[in-house]
Amino acid sequence: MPETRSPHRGADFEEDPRYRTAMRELGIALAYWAAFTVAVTATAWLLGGGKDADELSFVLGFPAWFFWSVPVTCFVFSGIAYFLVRRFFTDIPLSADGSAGEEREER
Amino acid sequence: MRWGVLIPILLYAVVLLVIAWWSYRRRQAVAEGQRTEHFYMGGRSLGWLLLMFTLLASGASAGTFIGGPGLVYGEGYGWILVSIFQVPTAFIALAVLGKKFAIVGRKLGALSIVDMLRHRYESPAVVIVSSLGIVVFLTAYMVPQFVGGTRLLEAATGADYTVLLVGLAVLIAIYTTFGGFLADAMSDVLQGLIMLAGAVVVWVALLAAAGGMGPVNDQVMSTAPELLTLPGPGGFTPQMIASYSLQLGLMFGVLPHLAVRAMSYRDSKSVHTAMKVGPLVMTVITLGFLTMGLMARYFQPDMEVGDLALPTTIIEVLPSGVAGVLFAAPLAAVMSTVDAMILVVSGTIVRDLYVAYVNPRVSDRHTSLLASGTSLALSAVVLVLALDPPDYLELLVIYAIGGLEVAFFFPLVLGLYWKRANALGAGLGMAGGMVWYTVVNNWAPQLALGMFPIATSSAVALALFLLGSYLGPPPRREVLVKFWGTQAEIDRLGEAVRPGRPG
Repeated sequence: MPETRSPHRGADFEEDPRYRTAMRELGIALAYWAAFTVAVTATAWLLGGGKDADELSFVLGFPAWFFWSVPVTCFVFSGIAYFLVRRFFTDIPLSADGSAGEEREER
Repeated sequence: MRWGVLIPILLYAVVLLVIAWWSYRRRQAVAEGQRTEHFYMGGRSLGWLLLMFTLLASGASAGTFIGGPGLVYGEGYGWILVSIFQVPTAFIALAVLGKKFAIVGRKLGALSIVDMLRHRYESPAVVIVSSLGIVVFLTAYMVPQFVGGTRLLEAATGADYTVLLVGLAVLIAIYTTFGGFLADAMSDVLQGLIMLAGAVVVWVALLAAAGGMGPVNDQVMSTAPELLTLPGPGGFTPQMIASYSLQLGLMFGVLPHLAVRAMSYRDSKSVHTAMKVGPLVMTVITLGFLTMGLMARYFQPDMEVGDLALPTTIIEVLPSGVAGVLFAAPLAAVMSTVDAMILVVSGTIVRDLYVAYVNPRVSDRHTSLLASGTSLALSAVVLVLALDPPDYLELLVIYAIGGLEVAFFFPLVLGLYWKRANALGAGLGMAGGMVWYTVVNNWAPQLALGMFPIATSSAVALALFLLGSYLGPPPRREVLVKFWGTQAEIDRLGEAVRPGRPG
């Protein structure tokens, strides 16, 4: 993202532009967490909530509600995490003054 | 005594000691003035493999490997459902604290989250309350870890509980005291790999021995059908399920021993790779070990202590050499969590309390020695506490985790990303959240509103945080510059701000 290098004057001092990148990534993570929570809870409850054991159907040896809400959802969201980082997370230097390259052992 | 099981475990202990010796040598080579940082931070040099495994291994504690399967054994599939909220934890922790945490940590030379809070809120009250919170809660958290690890070894080897406990404590003490953060992180990789392999191998072996999930389910269906249902014996209603996600997913990463790892990686490439791979690895480990809790029901239908179901099953079903290698996995989980915590608690006592308030003029060399000594003493304290073991492991662990999460989440996250956050808000939020959490847990469970206690506690903590922040004065300009300004602006503030790092 090109915006990371442009200096930004919010208050009466020059703000570090890298923090805006961090802020955006915080937003993505919160959305991801909310989506994961809803997906797991909803799938489990809609498929299995309040059912007796003899009403359950099974997939690959697991109760269906469990199969869809746990292994399947986990693998799907592992994939989503991979995609999110690849697509939306920005490589930035982490050193104090923002210069790249001297990141390893400073001395 | 089963020597076939014991010998692989002893070999594993020797490998850990070699790692500790190697990192000790490395620390001796580090220049005066940076030894303490090296002991607690490893020189901020973690690559993605170290970062990912150190987060996963330090996070996945006895809860996942001993208490967890034990609860699955007793309460069924519902417990696996809520436990998988730890799958995205590494991803979320690294993005929520984020690169800002790593950058500010470098700018200010912060070595712990208490350091961070001190710079952000400039309030001795906040620093002291959070330090004491870390010391008390994390020490409490370490006890069930020790107990769990020892119980497991007891079931596995047939040796005496006390002897094993002392052996385990001495091993942990030695490699944490001499190796410091780097030995910790390196052994985490080894331990993480063992856990990953263990999760897959034991799972397949047990499943093959049982003849598939079908016979397991038939067995459960005929003896305890409620284990297959939702809400089931654990009482997992939708709001209860979702509130577990708050504790195990979103807020988990601010735990002091994990947050410190979110400052110590080398560059943004490392953190990205760790975030891409982390959820998948955690999925395999969590699912593997927890479904085994259910399989244990097939092999051991009537165990009284659920925690012992899985170890007993492994011993009976697998050949002893293989079992010994696999026991290293849960043992590894315990040890990697405990060593991380010992470092954090010792750092809090030495740097955040002693050096900050009692004797600020102490030299780096002396601090480094003090750090080692405190780590040793802590192991001894936990050892003594663990001699009288409690019954249901996981609940204790969760109690300690929740208290710390409620205390630290808002001060850290809002402090990093919200300029208005101030000391009054942080203080009120921390104190109010912890008090509420304790009350709900001990005396007034109805205040949890049918959810896990952390849900209403967080709401109270957040409300008080916002209230305090708007009532109190906004942070000083210097604080805003330190947390939002460029390095040039920070340098302009003058020497008073920059911590005394030579060179």
